[in-house]
Amino acid sequence: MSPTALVLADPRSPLGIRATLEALGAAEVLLAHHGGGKLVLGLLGHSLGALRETAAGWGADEVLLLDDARLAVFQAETYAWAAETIVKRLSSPTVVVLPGSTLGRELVGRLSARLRGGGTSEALELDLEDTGGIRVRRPLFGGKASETVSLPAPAVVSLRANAFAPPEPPRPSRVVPVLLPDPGAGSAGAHLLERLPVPVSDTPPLTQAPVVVSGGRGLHGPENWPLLEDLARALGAGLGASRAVVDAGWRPASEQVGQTGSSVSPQLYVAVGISGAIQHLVGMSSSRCIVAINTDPSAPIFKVADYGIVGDALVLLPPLTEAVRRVRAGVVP
Amino acid sequence: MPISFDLTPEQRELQGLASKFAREEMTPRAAECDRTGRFPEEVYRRAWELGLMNLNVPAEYGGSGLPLLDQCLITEELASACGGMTTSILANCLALQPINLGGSPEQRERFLKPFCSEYRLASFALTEPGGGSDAGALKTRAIREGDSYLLTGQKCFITNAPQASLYTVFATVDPEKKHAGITAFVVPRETPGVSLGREEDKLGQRASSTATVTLERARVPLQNRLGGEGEGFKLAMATLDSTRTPIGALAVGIARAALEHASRYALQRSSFGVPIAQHQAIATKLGTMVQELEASRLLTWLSAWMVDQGKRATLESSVAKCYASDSAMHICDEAIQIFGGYGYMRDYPVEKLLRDAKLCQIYEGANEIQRLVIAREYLRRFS
Amino acid sequence: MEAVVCIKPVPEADSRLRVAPSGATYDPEGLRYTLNSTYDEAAVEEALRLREAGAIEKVHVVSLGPARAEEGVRYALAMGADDGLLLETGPGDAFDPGATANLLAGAIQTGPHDLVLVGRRAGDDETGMVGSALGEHLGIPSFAFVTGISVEGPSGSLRLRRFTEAGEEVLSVSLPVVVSLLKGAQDPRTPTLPNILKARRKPLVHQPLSEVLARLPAPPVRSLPVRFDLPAPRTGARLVEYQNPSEAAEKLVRLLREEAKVL
Ligand SMILES: Cc1cc2nc3c(=O)[nH]c(=O)nc-3n(C[C@H](O)[C@H](O)[C@H](O)COP(=O)(O)OP(=O)(O)OC[C@H]3O[C@@H](n4cnc5c(N)ncnc54)[C@H](O)[C@@H]3O)c2cc1C
Ligand SMILES: Cc1cc2nc3c(=O)[nH]c(=O)nc-3n(C[C@H](O)[C@H](O)[C@H](O)COP(=O)(O)OP(=O)(O)OC[C@H]3O[C@@H](n4cnc5c(N)ncnc54)[C@H](O)[C@@H]3O)c2cc1C
Repeated sequence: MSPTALVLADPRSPLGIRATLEALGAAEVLLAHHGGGKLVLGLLGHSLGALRETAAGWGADEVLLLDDARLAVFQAETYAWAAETIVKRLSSPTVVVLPGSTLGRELVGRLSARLRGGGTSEALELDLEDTGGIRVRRPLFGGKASETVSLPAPAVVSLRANAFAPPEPPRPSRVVPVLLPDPGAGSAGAHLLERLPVPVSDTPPLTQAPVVVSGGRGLHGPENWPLLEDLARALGAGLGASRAVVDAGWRPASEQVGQTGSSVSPQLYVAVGISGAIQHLVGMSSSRCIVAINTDPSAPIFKVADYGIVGDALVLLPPLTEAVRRVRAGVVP
Repeated sequence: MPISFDLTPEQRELQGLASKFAREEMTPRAAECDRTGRFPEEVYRRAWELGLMNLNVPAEYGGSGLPLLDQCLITEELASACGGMTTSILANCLALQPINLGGSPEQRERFLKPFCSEYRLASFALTEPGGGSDAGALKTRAIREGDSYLLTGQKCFITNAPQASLYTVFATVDPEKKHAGITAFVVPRETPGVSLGREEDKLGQRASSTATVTLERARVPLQNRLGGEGEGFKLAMATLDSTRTPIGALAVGIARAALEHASRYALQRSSFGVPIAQHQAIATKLGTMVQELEASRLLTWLSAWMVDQGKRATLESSVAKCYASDSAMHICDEAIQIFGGYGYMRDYPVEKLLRDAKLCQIYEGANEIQRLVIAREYLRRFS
Repeated sequence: MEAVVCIKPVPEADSRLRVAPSGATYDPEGLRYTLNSTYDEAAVEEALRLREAGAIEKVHVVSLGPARAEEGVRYALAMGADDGLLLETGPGDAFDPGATANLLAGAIQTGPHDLVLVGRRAGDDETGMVGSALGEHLGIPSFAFVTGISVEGPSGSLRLRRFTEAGEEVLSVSLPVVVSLLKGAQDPRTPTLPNILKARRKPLVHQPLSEVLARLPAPPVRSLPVRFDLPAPRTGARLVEYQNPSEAAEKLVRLLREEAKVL
C-alpha cells in the first residue's frame, strides 16, 4: 500500500507558513523516493477565511480543513487530539511531517506520544523505511554532531527550519472539510488574553550569537563597517573583528576574536577580509560552518573555511546581504 | 578506612561550585587585575556570599568547617583561574586559624562569628622587615600595662592588610626569651596606633593586596590575647602547619592552568609541518610536566588527609607545599617555553602564571626553610 | 500547589565527543556531565521563585538517568528544591525523549504535580519534546516556548507568556499543566557552599526503573539509534565560482541553506 504523509500547517505567521511549505516539500520528496503516495495537509484553526484558498495552492494532494472554535488558540493538547482524528481517517501507513516552527516543534512530542509511535524533531534528512517508520538524520550538541535514528510507525517528525525546499511547482489541492467529534479532548484549557507585537531583536552578544560576522584589515577602514553591520543584521549575527583592526582602533577590543580575544563557536562564522592567522583561528575554528571572503586565494583562512569567495569584500558584501535578507524573514529561536 | 582516591559526590559538588565561581567571576577579571593591580573587592565579596571564604571556621561559629582535603579541592579550582585572588581569599583562613586553634570559646564567638555573618577580611601578621624566616627572632614588642598590652613594631608583606578589619599579630613580651616570649594578639584595625604603609607593587599575584602594618603603642585589651604569654610561637607554627597544604593546592591550580594552556597550544601550533606537540622535545616536556602536576596534587591530598585524620603532618605538609610550588615554577617555565615568543608576551596567559607561582616558593615559609623542616623531621626517625 | 521540575544530566558543552564502538551513538566514556545547565537551571530557578512568591508550596525534582545523574539532582537541591527523585537507569539503558517522557510521567503521576516544569531542550539531543509528551502521558495540557509564568487570575490557573513567530501571547491556563520554558528565570542562583552541605540532608530517592516500567500500561515506544556522525575534518574551502558579485552571493546563500543548512 502506498504511504500517506500528513503535514500539519502552521498558518499563524509568515515564518510558520514558510515552515509549512518546507514540510510539504520534505514530505513530497519523501514520498517520491518511495514511488509516490498521498500528500495530505491538515489545516487546523478557527475562522480560517481566505487561508482555505491559499492553502489549497501549496501543493498537497488534499487539504483537510478543521475549522473549529476549539482550535482558535494553538494548544498542543487539542491540536494533538485533532491531528489524531485526521490520522485515523487516513489509510495507514502514515507519516506525520511537522513544520520547523514553534507549532511543529511543540506538537511533535505530544502527537507521537498520542499515536504511540516514534517521534523526533529538527530533522535534516528523512527517509521512509519499508516498515512504515522513518529514518531521520538530525543535529545534536549544538550542531557539533548528527545522529540518525529509526522511528517506528506511526512516525512523527518536525523539521529543522530552512533545511528543506518548498514543493516545486505547487499544484492545487482538493479541500475537504473535516468535523471534529464532540466532546473534545481534555480540559477547557487556555484562554488567550493578549498578543504582543514581535520584538525587534538587537544583535546578540558575541560569544552567544548563533552566527558571527567578523571583519579584518581587508575591509580597509572603519568607514566600511556599515557594510558588515548590514550583513550581521540580516543574519541576526554578532559582530567580531581580528586583532589587527582592534589594534588599529577601528573596532572596540570587546569584538576581538582569537587567542587574546573571545573564543566563539557559532553555527556560522563569516570571516571577511581576515587572513586567518593562527591566533585568530584558535578563537573560531570550532564553529560549525565557516565562510571566508578574501581577495587572496592563498590566505590561510581558506584552509579552515567550508566555503569561500575569492574577491573584494567591499563589492561582495552588499549583494550578499541582499541575498541573505531574501531567504531569512526573521529568526526562530 | 581504606585509601580511596574517589571524591565523594559532595566533594565533587564543592569542586563544581569553586570551578564555576572561578570560571564566571575570577577568570574574566584575572588579566585586568594583573595589569592594573586592582584589588577586585566584588570577587571577594561574592566568594564570601557563596561560602568560599572562611572554609576553616567551624560550623558552630557560622563557618562551613570543611575538612582540609575539601579546602584543597576548592583552592585548586580557584587558583587555576587566578593565584592572586586565591591568596586574598585564603588569607582569611590563615588569619582566623590562630583564633580557631588558640582562642577561648568566648574569643572564638567574639571574633569568628562576625566574619561569617558579613563580608570582612582579616590578616595574619607575623613577618617583619628584619626577618620572615626566623620568626623566633621577631622584634615587635608587647608591653603589659594593667589590663592591656601596648604593641609596637612593624609587620611587612601582610596580605589584605589595607582592607582587613582585624589582624592576628605576633609580638614578643620579652625578646630575651626568643620563641618563648612570643605571644599572639587580635588587633582590630581601628585600634589607635595602627597604621598602614603603602600597598606593595608586586611581581605577581597582583590582584591581592600586600602592605606593611605599623603598630605604635597600639593598646590591645587582655581579652584579645590568644592563649597565654609565650604561647604565640607554637600557635603560629600550628597555624602554618595547617595552612601550608592549601598553598600546595594553590600551586597545583596555577600549574594545572599552565599545563592546560601549553597542551592546547602544542596541538595548535605547527612548525616544520607538524603540530609542535609531535616534536619529541615538546612531548617529553609535557610528559614531565604531567608527572610533576600529578605528584604535586597527590602530595597535597596526602597531607590534607593526614591533617583530617588528626595525624601529625609537619613533614607531609612541608613536602606538599615545597614540591608543589617548585613544580609549579618548573611547569610554568616550560609552558612559556612551549609558547615560544608568545609565551613571553603579556597578551598570553602563561607569563602571569609564572609570576604568580613564584610567590608559592616564598610565603608561608620559604622553600629553603621547608627543606630544613623536612630533613629535620625525617632525620628524627633515625635518632 | 506543588511543582515538579524535570532535569537531565548532559555532557558538558565543551566535551570532546567520540563515536561509540557501535557507531550508533556517542561514547559516554570519559565525558563530564552537568545538570542540563542553562535550561534546567532556569527551570529550577523559576520554580523556586514561584515558591518564594508563595505561589507554590513545594518544588520536587525528578531526573531519569544513570547513578551519576544524582549530581544534577543534588545541585537542584542545593539551589533550594525540596526533594529529589532519580529514576535510575542501568548500564546500556538508552531511552529516547519520547520514552523518557513516558517513564517520567509514570513516576510523576504518583505524586502531586500541579505544575510540571521542563527546560527548553536537552543540551545533548536537543529534541525539546519531553514537555509536551509528558503532558500527553499525564493527560494534562502542556505549553511550550514559555517565556514567563505568573500567578494571576482565578485560583487553579496560571498566566503564561509564550513565544510564537507572530509575537508573544499571554494565556490563562488551568492547572495541572506542563510548561516547557523557552527561557526561564534569568540569573539562576548559584548554590552556596552551606546550601550544598545542607542539601546532603534533603531526601533523594533512587527508584529503580523496573518499578516505573511495571506501572506503565504498555512498554514505552523507542526509536532506534542507527548512526552517530561527527563532522569530517576540514579539507579546505569550497570556492564559489562566479561571473559577477550577485551570482557569488546567490550561490553562497544557496550552499549555506541547502548544503550546510545553517541559514
Ligand atoms: C601575541 C599576539 C596575540 C594575537 N592575538 C590575536 C587575536 O586574539 N585575534 C586575532 O585576530 N589576531 C591576533 N593576533 C594577530 C594575528 O597574528 C594577525 O596579525 C591578525 O589576526 C591579522 O588580522 P587580519 O586578518 O585582519 O589582518 P591581515 O593579516 O593583514 O589580513 C588582511 C586580509 O585581508 C585580505 N584583503 C585585503 N583587501 C581585501 C578586500 N578588499 N576584500 C577582502 N579581503 C581583503 C588580505 O588578503 C588579507 O588576507 C595576535 C598576534 C600576536 C603577536
Ligand atoms: C606577596 C607576599 C605576601 C605575604 N603575606 C604574608 C602575610 O599575610 N603574613 C605574613 O606574616 N607574612 C607574609 N608574607 C611574608 C613571607 O611569609 C616571607 O616573605 C617569607 O616568610 C620569607 O621571609 P623574608 O622575606 O623575610 O625572607 P628572609 O627570611 O630574609 O629569607 C631570605 C632568603 O634566605 C633564605 N633563608 C632564610 N633563612 C634560611 C636558613 N636558615 N637556611 C637557608 N635559607 C634560609 C630564605 O629561604 C630566603 O630565600 C608575604 C610575603 C609576600 C611576598
